[in-house]
Amino acid sequence: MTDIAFSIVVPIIVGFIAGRYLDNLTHSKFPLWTIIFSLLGFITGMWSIYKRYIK
Amino acid sequence: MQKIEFGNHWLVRLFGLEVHMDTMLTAWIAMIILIIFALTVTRNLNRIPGRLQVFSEMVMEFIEGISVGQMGNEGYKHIMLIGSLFLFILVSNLLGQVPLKLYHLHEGEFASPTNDLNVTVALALIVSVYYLGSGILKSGIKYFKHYFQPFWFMAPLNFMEDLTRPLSLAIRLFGNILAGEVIILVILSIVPQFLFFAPIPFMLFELFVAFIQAFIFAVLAASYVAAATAGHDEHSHESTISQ
Repeated sequence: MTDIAFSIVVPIIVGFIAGRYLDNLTHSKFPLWTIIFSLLGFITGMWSIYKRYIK
Repeated sequence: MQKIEFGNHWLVRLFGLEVHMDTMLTAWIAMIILIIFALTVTRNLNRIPGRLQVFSEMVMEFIEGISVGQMGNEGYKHIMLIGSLFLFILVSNLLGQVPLKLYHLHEGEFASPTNDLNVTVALALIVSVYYLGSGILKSGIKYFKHYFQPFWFMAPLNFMEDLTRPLSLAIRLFGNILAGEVIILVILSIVPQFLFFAPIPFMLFELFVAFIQAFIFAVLAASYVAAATAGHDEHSHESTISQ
């Protein structure tokens, strides 16, 4: 089951780091990119699990 | 009580790069063990096999099972990668249970190469480059078509999935092996000295974890290669792994 856990958690972490980097780059007060990329990471994790188990 | 420290490595500057010499040395030990084993086994191959030949044939059949099980006949082409990964990770994981720490270094300590994130990331990157290369060699530029399936707007998700795969592979292996070694260290540090045998059940469990982690890495690598080299409609095929 660790495979499922890592497949969900790792994209969220990557998304969070990428979003944080973009927010720092744009000096924005509201962490818009962090939220967008973290959500994208979460959806990617879910999509990855869905693809794996639908077959 | 024993003091527990993490992340200390014997740093050596090599060709302008800082390398962790302690885990590099144990990685070399793992490679030397495998080379000696391979040379010993293949020196006297007989039609009526001896014990060592039977054992090595069992190992090879197991690796063949992983590769061919995931990729069908295509799997025979990729046995070298899957086998090398499985054997190297297995021997590396098992090296963590050998009391190499008794030999004290002035900085860091001898430990399993797979409890160093640099090693596991390198292994995961090899897998990523390999399956990308295999996919491009097999389908050419059409390989990238799968990023836009089933719908074009799914491209960012598919791209991010490909990006996070090596990280996921690397962190899984690193986390499991490091956690196992930390548990043994913690137990050793909290029990009185005369109970030095207390971590033995955990060490036995770690032997099992060493095998399982090598197996999971090899199966996932095989499934990624299988997905990359399969037709586009089958691209999302991956095996179900549960631990």
